[in-house]
Order: sequence, then C-alpha cells, then structure tokens
Amino acid sequence: MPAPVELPRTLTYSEDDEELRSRIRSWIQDNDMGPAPERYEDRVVALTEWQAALHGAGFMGLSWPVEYGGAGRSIAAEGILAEELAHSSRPELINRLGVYTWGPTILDWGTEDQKARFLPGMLDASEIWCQGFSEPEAGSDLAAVRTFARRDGDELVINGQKVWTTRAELSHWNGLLVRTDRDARHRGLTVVMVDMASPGITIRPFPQILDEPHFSEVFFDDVRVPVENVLGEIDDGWRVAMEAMAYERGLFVLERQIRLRMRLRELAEQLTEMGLAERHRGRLGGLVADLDLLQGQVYRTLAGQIGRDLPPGSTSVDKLHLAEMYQRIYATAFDILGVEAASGGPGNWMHDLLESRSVSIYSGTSEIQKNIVAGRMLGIR
Amino acid sequence: MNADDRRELVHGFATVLQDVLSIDGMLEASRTGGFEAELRVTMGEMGWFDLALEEEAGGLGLTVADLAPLSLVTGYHLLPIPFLFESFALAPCASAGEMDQVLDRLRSGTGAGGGAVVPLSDEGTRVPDERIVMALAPDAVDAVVVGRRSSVVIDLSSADGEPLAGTDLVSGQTRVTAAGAVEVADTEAIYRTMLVCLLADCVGAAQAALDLAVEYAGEREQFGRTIASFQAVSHLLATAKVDLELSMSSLSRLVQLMESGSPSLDPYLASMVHAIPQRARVACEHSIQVHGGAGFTWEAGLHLFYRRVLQTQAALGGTVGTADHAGTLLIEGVR
Repeated sequence: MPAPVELPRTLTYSEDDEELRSRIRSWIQDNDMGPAPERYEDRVVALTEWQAALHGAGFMGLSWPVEYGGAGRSIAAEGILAEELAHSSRPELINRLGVYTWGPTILDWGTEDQKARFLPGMLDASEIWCQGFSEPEAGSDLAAVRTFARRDGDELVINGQKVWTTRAELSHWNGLLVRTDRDARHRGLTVVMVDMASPGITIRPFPQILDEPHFSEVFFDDVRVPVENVLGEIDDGWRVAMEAMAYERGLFVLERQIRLRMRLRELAEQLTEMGLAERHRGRLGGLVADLDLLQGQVYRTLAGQIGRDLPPGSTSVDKLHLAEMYQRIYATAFDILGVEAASGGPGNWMHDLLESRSVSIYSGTSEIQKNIVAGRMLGIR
Repeated sequence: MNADDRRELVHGFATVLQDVLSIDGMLEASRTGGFEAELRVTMGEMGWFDLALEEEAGGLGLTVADLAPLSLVTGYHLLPIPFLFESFALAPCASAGEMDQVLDRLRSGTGAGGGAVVPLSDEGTRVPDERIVMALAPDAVDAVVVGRRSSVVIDLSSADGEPLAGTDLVSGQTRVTAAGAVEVADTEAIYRTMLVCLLADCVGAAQAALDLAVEYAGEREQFGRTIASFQAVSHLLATAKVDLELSMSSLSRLVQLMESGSPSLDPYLASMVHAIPQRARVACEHSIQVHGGAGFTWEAGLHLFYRRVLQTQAALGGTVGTADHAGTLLIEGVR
C-alpha cells in the first residue's frame, strides 16, 4: 500500500465569514430571549419563537439560495451560526431536522415547485419537520422498510407503521421512507413528503428512557399523498435517504460538539467550585482532547460537504465519535460526582447520562456505523 | 518553490522512502545498525536537510503545510526519527544560530544527529543542566533539544551519552548530559512544526500497521472464511480506521491553525499531543490483535510501528502528562 501523502481539507472561515460572525454575535447579545422553559410544551413554543426571530434577522438558511429565502452563502456561514448560537441561551433550533437535513436534501433532489413550497416554511419554523425512517422491523436494517405506498393515479396510498419518530406530534411535514416495490430491496424504496395533518395518520407518544415525549409511533392507514410530493424518483429513495442522513452529520454534529464543549466547561466549573478539578484534571484533559478530535473531524466533513467530495462512509466517523464523546463526558461527570449527580444535583448530569445512551443508537447504531466504515472505507466485504 | 513544486518534492520523497525502506530492512538494521549511513547520503542528495530552511538561507522553504504530509510518509515507512529532528529542527536552529559547520556536516552526510522535544507542559529547555533522552543516529555528532521559547544545539563530542535500550529499535535512544550547548532564541515556530510533524509521523506509522492488518484479515482464513468476514474482527479494524481518520482530520486543522497564526493553535496543539498518539497507539494495538499469533512475531514487524508510536508518545510527554496538561488548560480557562 502507498503511504498517505496528503492531508484532507478542513473548513476555513473567510474575512467575510468573520464579519458575519460579528453581526450574529452582536444581534444575539441584543436579542437573546433567555433560557427556554423546562416544561416540554412551553419549551417548544419558546424555541419556535426564537427561530422565527433568527429568521427575521436574516440568519436562517445562510447557505441556501436567495430565491428560496436563503442568503446564498457557503456552508461555512451555517457553521458560524451554529457556533454563535451555542453561546446563546437557546442554542438549539426547533426545526433543525428541516434546516440541517431535509432542506439541503430538497435543494439537491427536489423539483422547483417543491423547493418553492417547502423551503421557506422550514426557515421561519412555521412548518416543523420530522423524519420517518425506522419501523418496528426495520431498525438497523433500514432497507427492510415495510410501510407500503401503492400508486393510485396521481396519489400514493400509504399503509404501515413508523417508530421512534422524533417530534412527530409537533411536525407539519414528515420525510417518509416507504416501500414502493415489494420485489426489490434498496431499489424499491421511495422518499415522500407527507403532510402530518393528512387523514389516516395516528400519532401515539412513545415515552423514551427519561419519560419525556420526544418521540412517537406513527401509524398510516390509507393515507393519500400526491405523487408530486415524491422527493427524487419513485424507487430511488434509498439514495435520497442516505444523503439526508449524511447531511445530518455535518452541521448537526458541529452544533452537538459545541454543546458538549459547553457542558464539559460547566463540569470543570462545578468541579473547580467543589475543589475537585485539580484532582481530576487528567480525566478532564482526556475529554477536551478527544472533543477537539471531533471538532477536527466535523470541520473536515463540512469542507467535504462544501467541496462535494466527502469519501463514502466518512460521516460514520463523525457519528461514532460523537456518540463516544456524549457517553464519556456524562459518565465522567457521574463517576466523579457520584450521589451528587445521581440525586439530580446541579448540572443535571444524571439526565444527560441517561439521554446519552440514545446517541449510539439513533440514526444508525454504532455497530452499523462500524460496518459502514469497514465496508466503505476499508473495502472489507 | 511554488506549491506544486513543494508537493512534487513531498511525493518524490514518498517514492524514494517506499523504494529504500522495508520492514525486513528495518529488522535487519535494528540488529546490525547497518543501513543508516547509506540512507543518509541518499537523503542528503535529495535535499532532505534543506527542506525546512528558508529559501533566503539556501533552503527549500517548506512549511508545516508540506512537512506534516511528508511526516505521514516518514512514519509509514519508518524513516529513523533522527532524520526528522535533523531536517525539521536541527538544521533550522543551526541556520538561525549561524552554525554553518553543523549545516555543512548534515548536508555532506558526515554529521549525523538527532534530538528531542521538551514536552508542552514544561517551561523551558533543561539542557545542559539535566539529562535528557534523545533519538540519536548512530555516530551522531550534533543534536537539538527543541523548546517552546528557545532551543539548544549540542555538540555531542563534549557530551556524555548513555545508550538506552529504547522502544524504537531503529532510531535508538540515548540519555545525554550535555556540556557544550548553544542556545537559539525564538524557536517557537520550529517547536510547533516539530510537534505537528511528530504527530503526523505517528499517524503514518499507525496507518501502515492498519494497512497490513486489513490486508492480512482479507487473506487469512479460519473456519473456512476470511477472518475479515467476522464482525468481531472487522469492527476492530473499523475502530482503528476511525481513530486514524479523526487524527488525520485534526492534523489538517492543526496545520490550518498554525498557517493562519490562530490564537486557538496552542490549546488545540495541547489536545492533539495527547489525543493523536493515543489513537495511533490503539490503532497499532488493534492491528497486532487482528494478526493473531503472527502479530506477536518478530518477523511480521508490526512491533516496529507500535514501538515508533510508543516512543513518540513518551517523548511528547506521555498519556498521563499530556492529559494533565490539557486538563490544566481547561481548568485555567474556567477560573
């Protein structure tokens, strides 16, 4: 094997980008609405209001074309927004699945009519999006999706069940992966955008590990969707779905990485106040160093998304390391703080430790990611 | 030289190292100490010792953006570590300190050398007052200890050396107590470049071990199938690949931060000095594991890559020392 003789490209910010950073920072200072309420329902309202305000200030869809409500800049600008939002009281975009995942996917695969119809509502959070991929019998084996869409004239008629659909109950649209050909596997799948108010849709909350209503089971009984809502071609949905998942690994991971950095800082502050930081500095140092690896990785992924030359399977690296960092940081907090953390003390570490178990499961388990790395990056069959 | 010329030069060295160096040759050399003088002449003729010298000083003017990719190659082919110190630190320090005789010795192939870096967590250089462990070529006559603010060039004829068993069999190690050391000021850029290149060298070495493991797993059959087809094996390889991809991506960021003079550079460098050698080390360990009994043999040579990474990890401050340092920076930022 020849030795590697090149380093991959990494994200760089231009002077123009830095000027944008100053504007966003200054706007956030003047308009920060304070922390969103704890109660889930109130939190949703507050975060929706926050995203609409960001949109009003011209900061949503920074990398989207101007004609669809964007600012026509590069993905680097989105990176700056994510980095600056992390320092606000409300770092999370309520419609991040729309803005980070489905928006870019529609920009790549959608028709002009679809772009004009769906993109603006994503940016001002007037239309929240969810993603309907997993099913009871199609988790890691996503291509085993059974929810079936039968063609009936200009409509698809959908029957089946999705599960673990995050924020289904407050979503207006669902990017749904359905089977359109029972005789094929990957080539018999289609992505279709489904109005969640359509007759025949039943949403049943499925409380997760923290007993919070973040995800649901969604049932489809003869749900009729216009064929014009198919994203890409019928039976070509696997490629669309895979691209959507790759988009989820760019800005999404950047945002998460920044959040983790802030949480690690909070932990260091808490330990400093308790006089424990010095004793545990090696563990903290190991975490910050490995978090910096994640930053290096996501900057490379974003550069690859800008240059459209991401190596196949490479975003699995981001996902695997993100999961590792989530679980290690919260486990470290729990391990050092012990009963202080277990009894719900400052920092809410117990909550986040429990929640961190999801990161190595959602959007492709860590085992599946390793299969992808082995297959696509190492050529192991 | 323009960017294309520099890139071509790096590729040229990659080809030569691939042709000249081999695992069998390394194993042989580790017992006889044989091939270094010959290699030194070849490298000198190609301009190895002029790479990091500024063009005004008669050098080729390569910066970390070229030297880091080149160091992936040195690690991959196990070019003895003293060559890196000689080209990336000793020559530039000698040039800055106007020690022409040191440069002449390097260029003519008559003066082998080597060096050491002061770990990031330490304030200054410790030579000549204390003993320091260095990677030295056989018959080395000059050495450099690269520090954060200043460095020292040592005339080894006035130094006491105590050869050590050494982890890296090819490079060897010597504990030096130096009397005749000349201090060179303002060597921060050389220091950072040296650290980044040693990190890249670790990644290259681990990548070579992983390539061998992937190839072996695709050929070795047990239970009637290749061992790569067992998920327990392929996941070990995938984990190593992830570790090296993270390291490669972060090296890019490190180079970019250094080239742009970013204030984020030093904390990021402190993190990478901990994270990259550790990831490279684990990648080597997985590669040995995947080879099974063969991985534990002398002749398979996987230990050469593992030793290389271990020695560099120790030289950069060790797992515990570098983690403590990164943690201290985090805590101080919080205070």
